[in-house]
Amino acid sequence: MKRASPTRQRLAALGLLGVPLLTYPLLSLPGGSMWGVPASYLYLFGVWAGLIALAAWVAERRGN
Amino acid sequence: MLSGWLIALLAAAYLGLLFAVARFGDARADAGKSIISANVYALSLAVYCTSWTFYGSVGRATSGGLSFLTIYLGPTLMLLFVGVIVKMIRISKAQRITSIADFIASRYGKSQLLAGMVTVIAVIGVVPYIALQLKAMAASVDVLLNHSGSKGEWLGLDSTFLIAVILALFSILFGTRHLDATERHEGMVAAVAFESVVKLIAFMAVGIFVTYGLFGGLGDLFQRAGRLPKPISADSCSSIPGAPEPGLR
Repeated sequence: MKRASPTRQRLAALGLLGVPLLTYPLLSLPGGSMWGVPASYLYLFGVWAGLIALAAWVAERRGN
Repeated sequence: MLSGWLIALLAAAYLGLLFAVARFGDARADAGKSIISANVYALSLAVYCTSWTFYGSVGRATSGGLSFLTIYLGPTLMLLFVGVIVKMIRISKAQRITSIADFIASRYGKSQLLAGMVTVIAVIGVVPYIALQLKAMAASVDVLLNHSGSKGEWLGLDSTFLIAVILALFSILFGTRHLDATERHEGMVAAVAFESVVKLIAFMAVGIFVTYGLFGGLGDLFQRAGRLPKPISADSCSSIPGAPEPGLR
């Protein structure tokens, strides 16, 4: 079977990482607040931004 | 104050602008100088944020708190599995497939019966969704018209019907104009990308207005959110995201 390109494999791995991070058992963990912002807000938007940043890093790097 | 004619004029001008952008995109594609770059294409992906998304996601936010984010998180995750999408595009191009029904049928030995079934299921599934879109647009027009004291009909025709006719015209002119459905519709992509920029600006404007106009800035909002019993709870995610809520009118 032909393997997908490394970039696509890395992106798919990132997606598989994102699914449990954004679903239930983990999603109910953050409580309280940090710097006046509820922790669950920070967690959700942080994970989202992190996934986008990692995807951009994987997609944009060339060669190596 | 906005009068009925001004609203009609502005809507016509906006549609005209979209026509112009689509024309420009088509003309550039014909000349071999495509305007579809990675950024334009990325913007056009926001096509899934429909007119109902504006009502649906805001409605989710008022009733279910953070669960409205599912509408945006899901597609973000889906796009990470780009390998599957690229594979689907490659198969479609190789076999000149233009619809999801043909695609699924081709995976199972080009079964005509299966293709017909998928078509029927897709049509049944998409009709209520289109109805929601039209309802969202008509509701927006009616809000503006009621504000100015005029009625949302013309020659006895309902505003929803008029909107449907105009939209059908737009998609006939730019979506189905060419017989070869496998070719790229660059004008359409360009118009969708332009629309996404408009949506982005509109959402930002509403966000800034709500944060600083209706509330006392971000600190105030976070303080109020922190005082809520629990921002995320299991029952706030129980119903389908984007579905109309009984309490939202």
